Amino acid sequence: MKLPVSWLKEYLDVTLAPDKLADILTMSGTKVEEVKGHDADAVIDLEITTNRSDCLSILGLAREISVLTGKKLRLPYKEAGALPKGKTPVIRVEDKKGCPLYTARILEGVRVGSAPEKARRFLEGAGTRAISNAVDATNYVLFEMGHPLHAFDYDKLEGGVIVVRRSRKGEKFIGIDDVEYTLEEGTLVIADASKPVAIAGVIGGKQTEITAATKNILLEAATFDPVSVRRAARRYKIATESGYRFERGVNPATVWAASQRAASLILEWGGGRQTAVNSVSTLPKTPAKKIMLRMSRLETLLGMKVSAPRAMKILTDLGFAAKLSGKDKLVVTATTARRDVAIEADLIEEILRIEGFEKIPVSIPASRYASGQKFDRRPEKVLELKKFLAAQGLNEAMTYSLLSAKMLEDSGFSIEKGRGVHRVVNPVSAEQEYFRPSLLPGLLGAVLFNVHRKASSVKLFESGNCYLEGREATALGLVLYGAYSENWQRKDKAGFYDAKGLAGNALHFLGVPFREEEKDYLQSPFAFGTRLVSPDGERLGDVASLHPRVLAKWDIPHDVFFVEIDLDAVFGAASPARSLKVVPVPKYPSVRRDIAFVVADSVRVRTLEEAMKKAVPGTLRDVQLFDQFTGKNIPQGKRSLAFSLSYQKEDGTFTEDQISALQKRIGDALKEGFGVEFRA
Amino acid sequence: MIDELKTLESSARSEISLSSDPKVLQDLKVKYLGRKGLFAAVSARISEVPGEQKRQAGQELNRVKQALEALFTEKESSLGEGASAPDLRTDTTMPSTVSAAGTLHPLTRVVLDITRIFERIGFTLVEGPEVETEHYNFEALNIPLDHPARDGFDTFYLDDGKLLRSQTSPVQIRVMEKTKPPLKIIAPGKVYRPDATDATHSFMFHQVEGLMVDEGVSFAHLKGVLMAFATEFFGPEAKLKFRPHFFPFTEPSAEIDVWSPTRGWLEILGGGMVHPGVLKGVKIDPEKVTGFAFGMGVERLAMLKYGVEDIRHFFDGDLRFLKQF
Repeated sequence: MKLPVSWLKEYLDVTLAPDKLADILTMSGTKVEEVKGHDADAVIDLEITTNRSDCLSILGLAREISVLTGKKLRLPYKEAGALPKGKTPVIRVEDKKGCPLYTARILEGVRVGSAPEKARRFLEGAGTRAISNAVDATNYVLFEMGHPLHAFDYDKLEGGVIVVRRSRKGEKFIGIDDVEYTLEEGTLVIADASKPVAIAGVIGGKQTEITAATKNILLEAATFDPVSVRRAARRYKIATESGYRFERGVNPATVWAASQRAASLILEWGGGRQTAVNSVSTLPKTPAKKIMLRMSRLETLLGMKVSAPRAMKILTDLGFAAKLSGKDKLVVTATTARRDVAIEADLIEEILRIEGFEKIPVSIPASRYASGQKFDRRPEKVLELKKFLAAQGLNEAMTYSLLSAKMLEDSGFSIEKGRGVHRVVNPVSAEQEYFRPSLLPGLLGAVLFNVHRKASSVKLFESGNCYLEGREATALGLVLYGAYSENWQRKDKAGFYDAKGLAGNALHFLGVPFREEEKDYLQSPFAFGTRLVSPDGERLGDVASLHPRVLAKWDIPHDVFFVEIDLDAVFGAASPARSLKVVPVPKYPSVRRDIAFVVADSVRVRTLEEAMKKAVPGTLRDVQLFDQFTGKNIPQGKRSLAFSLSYQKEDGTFTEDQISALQKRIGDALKEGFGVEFRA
Repeated sequence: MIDELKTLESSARSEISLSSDPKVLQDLKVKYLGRKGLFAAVSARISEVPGEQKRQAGQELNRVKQALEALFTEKESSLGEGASAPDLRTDTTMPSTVSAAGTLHPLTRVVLDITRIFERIGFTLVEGPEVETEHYNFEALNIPLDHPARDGFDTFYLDDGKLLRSQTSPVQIRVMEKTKPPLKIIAPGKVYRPDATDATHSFMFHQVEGLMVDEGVSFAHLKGVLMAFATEFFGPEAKLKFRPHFFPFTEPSAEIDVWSPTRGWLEILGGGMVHPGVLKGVKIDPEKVTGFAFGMGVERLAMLKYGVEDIRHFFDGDLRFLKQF
């Protein structure tokens, strides 16, 4: 809302400089964005919050300044008296809820020309261009009093009637913006005998607009249902000063006074005479609501005291009728000029903003804790987990939750309806059309970003929410690419087993028992992987190597290893703080022996480990794979594996013979079970 | 002879153990085991030993000789390690071979900084869902459908009718539904607004929400809590300025500017006393308890704190950026 200081001075003798005015306005609730120009030309540009429709007018702001400075306000209009009843113009209000009050005035013999220079200057300062005296008069009152009005060329209204109704589907309407609108069913319109001539409260029509040839004017002053106006403005994408004000609520009590004011300006600027007036009102005649203000409640809410007489002065200055009731209560009458003030808390805010927030003292509240109050420990634990992962050498990333179709499809996800991925129905761009069902696409994007900038190693983790099949879940994602460690002494490429280790460490850190389950990952973005499950078999996460198909789509040159852990499942499965029970350190020394053999690739290492332990129950404390090789001397489809075995007895040491016997038992079990071949 | 040998052995032992110089040790070796040494002198007199004791003496001679030799060898090698010249070939300026530690995301750090300050004055950390309903994001917060108050809270809608929360305030409602006062919570999280993305705006960003509801909670307490935050986050010279504002879910409401010695006045926070309608909606009696709520944007604070010029850096995964934290 633009406030030209020169216009303000029509109603108030302000002596403050514009920037001082701006200060007091800001500090009392109408925030000034900037002050343009100087002295007489100064225009204060304000941001008016949606609840203060009363400040969308020069007079409304003048009242605020009058309260803050103590200067007396000069109203330019008089009390208008009762609403008129006349035979013409004919007004038919078919939608009473949509239009509770419609007034019309006929002005005949008006000469359409320019408005006076001062008025034109004021309008320009307020942000609108001068058009013609009649139209400018309606705009003048819109800005001055906050009442949007409309002037029709009366002779162009078919049948000379005004019908306030809902549009029928397909009706055509040409606005004064020269755009032809095809109306939907149910838009609130002003119509004549045959067609819509205005979208009520939003915009007038070209066919009935005031031109240089206009002689007779029908001046509309009305209130419309804010929701109807808002819907129409949004639906047809028309933003006008008129629509803006009706949406936020216009005071029905001064509609007729506004009509009077505008009529007097038109007649003053263009001559002519008023020949008819009429109105249709279905405004409820309920008495204004009374709001009780307890000064004790003000003190509780604000933490400061205000005297009842002081409160009464503020509210009265602001335009409320207020009476003392006892020593520390006020009875305040609500007013249609301030529909945002409806309850006691609203009155308290009015008093506070005029008194000044700086009057409230500063005090730290005491804390009380309700017994039995349980809050989720999860946010803390996730934070600890993040620090843990950072300590493992990973960098935390944060990627966008909304992705493009391309990112999803390139990562192996389907965006077909019914496959669980949710679409944003009003995206700002195609880049943000889908909510991520997994952290994978975003992390691949991050890998690619770094690959393009010559990174030779990317080790990232991210914790964030995904949405799939109507369920929001928190996931932890890790991604490894390129070197795992890279320095002049060691160069290791990241591998699947590194990813598995990190995932395992993370779960161990969270105190979650888990095991690995083999899975073939067909129809997924993964070439191969392993599933991490709780002891009950519930999925906790996956560790995988990405499929070359996915890497090709993304144009990522080397392997990418990925972990995704469902933190909701994990926290559900975490065992309560395990109390650690130490396993006693063995009394007797263990014996280490190696065993190496050649076996078919298809036999899994875990299977071999379990078989070895089973062959010598109770004596094999540890089996550690320490070498694998293929190639020279090893037949195709087979590999050589070497394990380090650790034998342990509770009650004594082993003899050489006993160890040899155990080794033989293991060897035999492996030969029998898996056809392994021992080297000569 | 056996007694002589025993004496010889023990004196050799003590002299050897006291020696710390290879040269001295070498001289000792000559003294004891040399051609004209003490051992040689004793062993030469084997012929004087009576017949029956000769065998025993001979055995003892052997034993002592071996023992002395072993002692010298051992001492030589232990002195030998320390006796070599300092190794000037090790270049200690070469880079370390332990991988650098990873990093937390700057937004995680800022959220941690903020929430830690509030936790210290008794607030509990809670979180809420990003995918929300009309009820939690609007209705329960006193923002009715088709109301201009919605203009400030444009939202993304999903194909299942849900929406992406445009502020963290819904968490207040969720907490108040489950837990009755006294309540003191701090809730960080992601929010979404359909704005075009540029250097200072992002469609996805973070807020931190605070709420306290209890008997006798007043605006003065809101001031106190925010003052405590401002001085911890910006330094002891920080100041606050409260400007009256409008939020549908608080009354009175304020926008709060913080004065930082390095940056002047910053528009950082919004807050106010929880609207009685909001409390009634979650079945809390506003006559018995009152509350305040506040919210702040995290990205702006992070950009100020770390000197980040473009908000998009937070979300593109650039390691050259992330590794600096």
